[in-house]
Amino acid sequence: MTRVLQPELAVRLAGLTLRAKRTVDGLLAGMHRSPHRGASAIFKEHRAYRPGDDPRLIDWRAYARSDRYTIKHFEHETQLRGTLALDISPSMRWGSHDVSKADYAATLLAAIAYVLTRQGDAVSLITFDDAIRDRLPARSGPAHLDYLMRLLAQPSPSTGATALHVSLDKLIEHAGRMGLVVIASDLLDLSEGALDPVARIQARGHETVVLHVMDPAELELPYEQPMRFEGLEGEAHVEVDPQGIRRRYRDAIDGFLESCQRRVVAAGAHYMLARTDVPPEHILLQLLRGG
Amino acid sequence: MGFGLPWALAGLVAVAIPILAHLLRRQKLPQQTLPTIAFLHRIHATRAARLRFVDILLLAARVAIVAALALAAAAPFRVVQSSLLDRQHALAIVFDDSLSMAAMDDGETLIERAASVSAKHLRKLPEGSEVSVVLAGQPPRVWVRRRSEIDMIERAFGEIEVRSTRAGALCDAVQSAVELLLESDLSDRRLLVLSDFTPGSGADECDWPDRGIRVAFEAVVTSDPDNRRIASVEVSGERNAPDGLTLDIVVTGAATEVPQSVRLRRKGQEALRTPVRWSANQGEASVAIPPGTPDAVVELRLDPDDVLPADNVRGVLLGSDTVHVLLVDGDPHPDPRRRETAFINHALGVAPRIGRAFAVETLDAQDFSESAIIRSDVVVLANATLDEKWLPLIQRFVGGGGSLWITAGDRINPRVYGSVLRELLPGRFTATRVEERPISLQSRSLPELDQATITARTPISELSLDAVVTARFADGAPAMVEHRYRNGRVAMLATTIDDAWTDLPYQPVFVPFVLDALERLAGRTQHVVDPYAPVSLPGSTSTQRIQVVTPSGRTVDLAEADRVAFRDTGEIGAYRVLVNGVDGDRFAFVVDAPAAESNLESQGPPAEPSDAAGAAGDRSRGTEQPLAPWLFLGAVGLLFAELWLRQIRRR
Repeated sequence: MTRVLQPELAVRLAGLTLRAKRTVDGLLAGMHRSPHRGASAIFKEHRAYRPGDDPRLIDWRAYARSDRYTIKHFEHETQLRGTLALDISPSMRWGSHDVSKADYAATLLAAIAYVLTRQGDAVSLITFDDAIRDRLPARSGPAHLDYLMRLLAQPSPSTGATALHVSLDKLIEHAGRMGLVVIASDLLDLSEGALDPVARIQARGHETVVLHVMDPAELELPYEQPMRFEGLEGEAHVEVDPQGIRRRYRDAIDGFLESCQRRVVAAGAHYMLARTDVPPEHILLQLLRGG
Repeated sequence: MGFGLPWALAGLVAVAIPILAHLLRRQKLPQQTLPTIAFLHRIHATRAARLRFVDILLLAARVAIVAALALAAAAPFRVVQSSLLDRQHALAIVFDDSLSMAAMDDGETLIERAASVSAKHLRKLPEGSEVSVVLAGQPPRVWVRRRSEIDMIERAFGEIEVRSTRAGALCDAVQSAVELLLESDLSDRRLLVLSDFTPGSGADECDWPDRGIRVAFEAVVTSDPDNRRIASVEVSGERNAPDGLTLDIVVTGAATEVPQSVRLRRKGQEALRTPVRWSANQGEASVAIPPGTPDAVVELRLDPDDVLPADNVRGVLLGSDTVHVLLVDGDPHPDPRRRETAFINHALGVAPRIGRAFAVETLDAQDFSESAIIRSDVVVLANATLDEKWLPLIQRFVGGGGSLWITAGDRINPRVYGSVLRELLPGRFTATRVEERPISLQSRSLPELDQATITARTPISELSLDAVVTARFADGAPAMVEHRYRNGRVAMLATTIDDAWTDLPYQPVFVPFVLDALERLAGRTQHVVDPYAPVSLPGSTSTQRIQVVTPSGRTVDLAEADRVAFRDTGEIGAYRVLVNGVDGDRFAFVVDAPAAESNLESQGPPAEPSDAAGAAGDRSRGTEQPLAPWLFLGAVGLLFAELWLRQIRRR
C-alpha cells in the first residue's frame, strides 16, 4: 500500500465489509444481491408460471404437491461496482495542520477501495475539480487496487476551482448503473445547483455517500489577530479581524454544512461530515458499519 | 491664544505615531490562506464600508488624543480681552493706605480720592460680581473678603483711615489679594491696584500674577509732590550737664518761599521755636534744651505743614537709653564708703561713658517699695534680709521685664530666700561657709576675675534647668548664676559685693564685672518703633496706675497685668508713659514716620509686558484662561470614543 492507506489502518479494516444497502448490478458473482433472479444458493420466492418463463425454472416438486406450475426464484449474488470520486481542487489541498483535506479524503477513499477489493467488488476512481481529471475504470483485484492507490496518492494537477455540478454530471456517465458512489469533497461550490447531480446519481440506482471533508480551521476560524486572508481558487483577498466576525462566520459555516446535508439527504444520499482532525478510521467505521 | 510651555509643542510630532502604526499595521498584516474565504467575503461585504469608516474614525480619534495631550502639556491659554466691567467676575482691590497716600491734594487725601475711584468701579460692576479689598499699609489687612453687596463695600471704603501713618506693604497685600481671587469660584479674576506708586510702595518688586488673573493699575497721585520731612535729630550733651542738651535737626525736601521753623513741644505744649536754615535740598535747625529738664521725651514739629503733615512730626528721646539701677542696701555700713552700694556706685561712676549710661538710685532695705522699683531697670538686693511683703513686688517687677540681682552676705537667710523667692531664683542659697584658704574666681568672659580672692561664700546649689553660670569659684562651684524669669532676668552672686568676704571691689576687674552684669541684666529696650508696632509696657496694678499719653494728648490707661503690648501706636511723635501720674522716663517711646513714605514722586505703575494688549485707560494684560483642563477633558472623551469604536469594529 502507498501512503494513502497506512498499514495500521488496513489491518483494522481487515474484518470489515462494505455492504451496499441497495441492490447492485454486476457481472461477476459477489456478495451483493442482484436485481436479476437466477442461479444461486439463496432462495427468494415462488410465483405462478407465466408464459415466456424459462421452463427450467419450474419447481416440479411444488407442481407434484399442488398440481400448479410454480416458478422458484433464487437471489442472484452479483459483484458491486464502486465508484470513488475525489475532489482535487486547490481548496482540497489546504490544511491547517499536517494533513490536507485532499490527503484525508484520499485516505478515506483508499480504505473504502481496499475493503471493496477485498470482498471482490470492482472499484473505479475519478478525480475532479471543474472537470474530470483522472478516470480509472472499475476493476477488482490487487493490481488494480495498487494502481488506484497510486492515483489517489498522486492525482493529476488541478487547474480549476470546484465545479460540482459539472464534475458530478460527468461522474454519472462514468459510474454506470446501480452501484456505490462515494464522493469526497469540501463541496465548496456555492452555486445554487451544485449538489443537484447527487439526486441524478441516486436516480440512476446508485447508493451515494457524500463525505464532506472539512478542516477544523475552516469550521471554527481560530485566528486571533487581524489578518489578510487569501483564497485558493482565485478569490480576492480580504482583511478582517477574526475576533470580530467569528460568530458570524461560524453561523455561516453551520448554515453551509446544514444546507449541504439537507440537499444530499433530500436527494436520498448519505451525508457524512469528515473533519480532518478526526482520525479517519472513526469516519470509516461509521461508514462501513452503516452509521 | 498662547502657550505657557511652548517647547512642549514639539510633542505634536507624536501624532505621527498612530498614523504610522495604522499604516504599518495595514502593511504587516499576517497572511493566511483559507478555502472558505467566500464566507468571509459574504460577511465582510456587509461590514467593509462601515469598517473603513470606523477605521478612519479610530485613526482620527487616536491622532486627536495624542494632539490634545501634547497641546495640554504646552499649557495653552486664551487671553480674554474683554472690558474690565463687561461681565460677572471676581475683583480684588489692593488699596494702598500707606502714609504717602495720606498726602493732601485739592483738599482731600489721596486715600479719599482712591476710595472715590474704587466706588466708581464698584458701581459699574455686573450683578453677582465678587469683591475683595486688601489694604496695603503695613501690616496688610483684608478689609472686605469676597462680598457682592456693593453698598456694604462702599461703606467699608468710607471707614478707611484717611490720615494713615503706615509703611507700605503693597507686595504682601498683592499676595493676599491673589489668594482671595484664587479662592473664588468665578473664573474671570481681576486685580485692581490703587496706589500712588511712589518708591515707598515697592510696586516694582512685587510678584504680579502673570496668568489667570487680569491686572489693572490705577495711579492716584498728588499734583504737588513737594514734601518736607524731619529726617533726623541728633541729641548731644546731657540733661544734667551745665550746657544742657542740644538737638541738631535735619529737614529734607525742597526749600519754600515761606519761612520754615521747627517747634519743640513738651507735654503737648509748644516750648521753643527755631527757624530752618536751607541749603540746597536740606534744611537744618538747632534747638537748645536747658539743663535739668525733667522730660524724657519731646516732640518736634515742622511749621508750616506741607502736603504730608504726618512726617513733619518727630519724637525725640532725651535719655531713655539710660539704665536705671536701684541699689537696695540690706546692711548699711556705718562707713558710707564701705557700703555695698558705695562700691557699685563707685564702679558705675568710673565706668567709661561708652554705650549706655547708668542712673543709680540707692535705697535702704526698709524703704523698698513698688514706687521705688517701677522706675528701675535693675534692682540690686545687696545682702538684704528678705521681707515676705516684697515678694509680689519683686514678682511683678521681674515678670514685667525688670531684672533682679541678689548678692550674698551675712544678712542673707538662705532658708527664707529658698522658700519665698524660690520660683524666681536660678538656684538655692545654702549655708554660708568661711573658707580656710582664700579661693579665687574664674570666668571665661572675664579672665581677670581670678585676681580676686574669696574668704567666705554662700554657696548656690540646685540650679534651675535654664540657669547660666557666668562665674565660678576655683573649686568649680558656681559663683554667679543667672536665668530668665518670664519677661525679666534674675542673677545670684554667692559672695558679697562689698569687701566683707572678698577683695573683688578693690580689683580692677570689678568695674567691668559690675558693668557686664548690669548691662546683661538690663537687656535692651525698644524706644523707637514703627507706626502700629506693639510696645511692651508694664501693666497697671492695684497700687500702680500706668498710662500712655499719645502725641495728640490722648491718655490711655493700661490694663492690669504684669506686662501689656501697647498697640495704639498709630500716631507719629512722642509717647509719654505715666506711673501714678508721674513721667516714667524708662518707658517713654517715640513712633517715627516711615522714611520711605515721604517721597511723593510717583514712579507710575509697574512696566507692562511688551505683549500686553491693554485697553485704553485700562492697563490690564487681559485674563488668561487656561485651556489645558478642556484639552484633558477632550482627550478623556476621545479615549472613551476610541474604546467604543474598537468595540464597534469588533462587533
